[in-house]
Amino acid sequence: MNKPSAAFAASRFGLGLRRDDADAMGRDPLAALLGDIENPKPLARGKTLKPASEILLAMREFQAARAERLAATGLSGRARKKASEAAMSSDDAGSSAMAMESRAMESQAMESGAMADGSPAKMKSGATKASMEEKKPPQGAFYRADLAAKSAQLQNAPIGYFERLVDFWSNHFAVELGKNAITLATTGAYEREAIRPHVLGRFEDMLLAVARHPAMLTYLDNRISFGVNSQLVERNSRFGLNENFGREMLELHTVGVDGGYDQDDVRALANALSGWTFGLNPRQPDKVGVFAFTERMHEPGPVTVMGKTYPQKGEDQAKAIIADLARHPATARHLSRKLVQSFVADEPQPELVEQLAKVYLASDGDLFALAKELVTAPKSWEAPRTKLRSPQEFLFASARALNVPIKAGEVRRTLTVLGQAMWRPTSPAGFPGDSRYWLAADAMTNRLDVAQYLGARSKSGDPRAVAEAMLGDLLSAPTREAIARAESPGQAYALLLMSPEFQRR
Amino acid sequence: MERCNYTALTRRRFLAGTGVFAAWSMMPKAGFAGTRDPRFVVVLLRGALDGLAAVAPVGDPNYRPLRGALALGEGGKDVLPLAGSFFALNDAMPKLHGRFAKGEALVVHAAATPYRSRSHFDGQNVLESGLEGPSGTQDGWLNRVAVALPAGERVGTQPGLAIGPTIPLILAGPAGTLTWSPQTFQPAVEDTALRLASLYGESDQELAKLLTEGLETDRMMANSAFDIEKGPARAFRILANGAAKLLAEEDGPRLAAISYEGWDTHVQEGADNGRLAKNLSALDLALDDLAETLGPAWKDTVVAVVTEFGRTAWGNGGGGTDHGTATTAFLMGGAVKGGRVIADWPGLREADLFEGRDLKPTTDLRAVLKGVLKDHLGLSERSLATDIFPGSLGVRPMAGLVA
Repeated sequence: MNKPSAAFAASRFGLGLRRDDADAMGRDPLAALLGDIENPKPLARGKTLKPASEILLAMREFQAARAERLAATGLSGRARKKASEAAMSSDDAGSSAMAMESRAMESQAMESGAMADGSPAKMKSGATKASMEEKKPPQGAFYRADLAAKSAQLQNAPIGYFERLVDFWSNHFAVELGKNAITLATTGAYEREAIRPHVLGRFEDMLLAVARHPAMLTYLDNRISFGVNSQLVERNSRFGLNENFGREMLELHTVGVDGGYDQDDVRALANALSGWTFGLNPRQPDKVGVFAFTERMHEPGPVTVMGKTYPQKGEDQAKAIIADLARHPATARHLSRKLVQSFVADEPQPELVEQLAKVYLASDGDLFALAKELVTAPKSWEAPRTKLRSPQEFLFASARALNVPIKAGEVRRTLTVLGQAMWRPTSPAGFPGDSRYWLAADAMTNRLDVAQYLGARSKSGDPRAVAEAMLGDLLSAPTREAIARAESPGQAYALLLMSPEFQRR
Repeated sequence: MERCNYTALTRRRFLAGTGVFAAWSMMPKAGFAGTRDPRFVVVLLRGALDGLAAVAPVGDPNYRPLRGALALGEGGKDVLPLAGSFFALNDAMPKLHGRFAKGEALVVHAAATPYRSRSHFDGQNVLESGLEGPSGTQDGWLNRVAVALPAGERVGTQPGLAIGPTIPLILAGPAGTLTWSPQTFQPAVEDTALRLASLYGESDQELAKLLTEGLETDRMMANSAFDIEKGPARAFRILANGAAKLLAEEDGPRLAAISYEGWDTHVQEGADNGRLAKNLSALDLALDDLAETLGPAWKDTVVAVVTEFGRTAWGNGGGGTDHGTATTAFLMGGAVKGGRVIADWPGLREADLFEGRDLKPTTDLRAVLKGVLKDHLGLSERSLATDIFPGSLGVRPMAGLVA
């Protein structure tokens, strides 16, 4: 196969060329991509990035303190109720009090002003003077810290193949951060803790890490899923099984919708997962935000999933199912197809999918082997460059090409305008890998507005030289001409970002 | 020949908003023995203003035959006469006309920088660097002015201030700048959308269709076909007001640059009632805002309105004009000795044209700028010839521009 050019390699598999790494890619782009996954650049960790356990503890302590303060003032019936709930939560994890309190946390999420970067806290409740004097709930700050770290990483990663893989797997195991205060605060940590460490490891380990993480357990409701014959439901029949996570694990995360499972399998997996939850009681601070298997929530007895019976007790039951699902040929095909569609072609080539699935099965779900096969397979380079960059790919590739640093607040606003807010997919399926999804009627005018905004901020020198450096052999005669004839550098940069060869990969 | 052809789509919502303003607070507060506190503002019109459409030589017998359909002033239409000259101002600029009448504005015609080719980038590079030709230099002449100002009481402690998303070349250099820009997400300018539509038309039908649909939606959403307040005027005025507020401050900046885009009128120029008229009208309103908002400081202010080069003397067959050479510049301000058109008129017979196509440059724009810098800011002739506009020893500062 012909050596792919730097611009091609950086757009299909990387985050897009930057002025300073065009040369590094240029000598041997394929080697550069492989080097990027052999030696990935770690996430720059500021002091503000905390583990999910610390994040949730800070939130719980904030809530408890507020409840106590309000109760002490004796001004508010609602506050007294909250304080008494906090007191009740001295019961262990999985208690009904926990479920009630987490609802209280959810109602707080939107109250917190958390989505408004840098804006003063909005105390909507404002019922009492005391509440006005309170500090802001901490979840917004945790979200902003993770968004800032992620934004910086996507701009600074030298090649970006590893980061593209992080995005792929993070989106595969999508969590929508807007669900409640817990997901708002921990979705960034989730990507750092459950996805990032396993991107080049084994799929089974990633799946297990995902299934144990507070963000996923919250997003797909497993933390409030109780076996109908569990001890807690025997005591209080208000609670029941929630199939959400069991269903999505089969349909989205592993074997796929055509993977050969039925409703009974969904129910069986949900039963096996019941009791997978995490601590939230501030009086047991070392358990807050930490995965816990809660026997009293778990549906007892063996389950049968996709024809195999799992007699294991406790946590081991779902673990055994997860291990089998990770090795299932349907999972290999499902993941391979998604990878090809995401990186290479909206209509994945069946031979390439088959080739990857083989590697996956032969390597026991080794994601490094899969990532390596994906870039070394000649077929991965044969598909024409027709995929439209997703809004996120477009934004960061633009910032890299024009050397315009964009702050987290701008990232949030811009991606919202373009329809791909960070960590906010519209469903558990994540954002579609089929780029035709992005061909909406106002897509190009919105992108043009963004391109103009960034173009006006670039100080990269002669746009003709920037175009040659960033697009290389991809630069077409009409685009070269349009850039050369632009009336200002800002307009020229905007046209460069909007050119078909930049928009498509 | 440089041409920028593109499909003549009509995006009704005429949008602009890429102006840049930058300024310093480092200026001698009492540069002139405590009697004056001069301000100097450069307005850059990016894209090459058609000088023959902004200030029409209606008294030149060759003007109408040469320009044909593009000629203004038939029966006095579309123009405002400039007393004492055979020129007339485009009637999209009534406020500038008023200041001209009051002696607060003057026109320089058939002027150009030393640049004689026709690339926007290179032309703007020369206009802003102050050098004789295009270069990779990282500093601009207005920055060098800040450095060269006669020592006096410095205003403020900040090294400088720029309003706009980036510091343009004219302000770049050792005298540092702060920046500010209005934090609004501006819709893309119509001209850029047209160029993109043309590019997609050549190379990507799928994106072309989407873009056209998006622009069409914009068009339908617009309240009216011609809403100047929502068009370029709004964006131009935001920057002019921002600049003026800071310049008016007691200890605020004293040097500033504002960029306005959208002057590259290759297709359907519309100097009478279309695109160029709208842009000129927006410029007129913005300059008036600048004057009004500066308040008492206006009397000590000079504003230089300049562009990288002019446009062809005749139309190009698409209702527009292509890149040319000489054009007009404006000086405005309470400190300007106005009410005049300064021009060593080259004539418009074919033999009079530069390279047989453009208005011939007879006034070096640097002479105008040097005249202002010498008499308004007190820079020495030697510094102007070596530091500010290196190699311009033979270009003497024009005298008598400042009152």
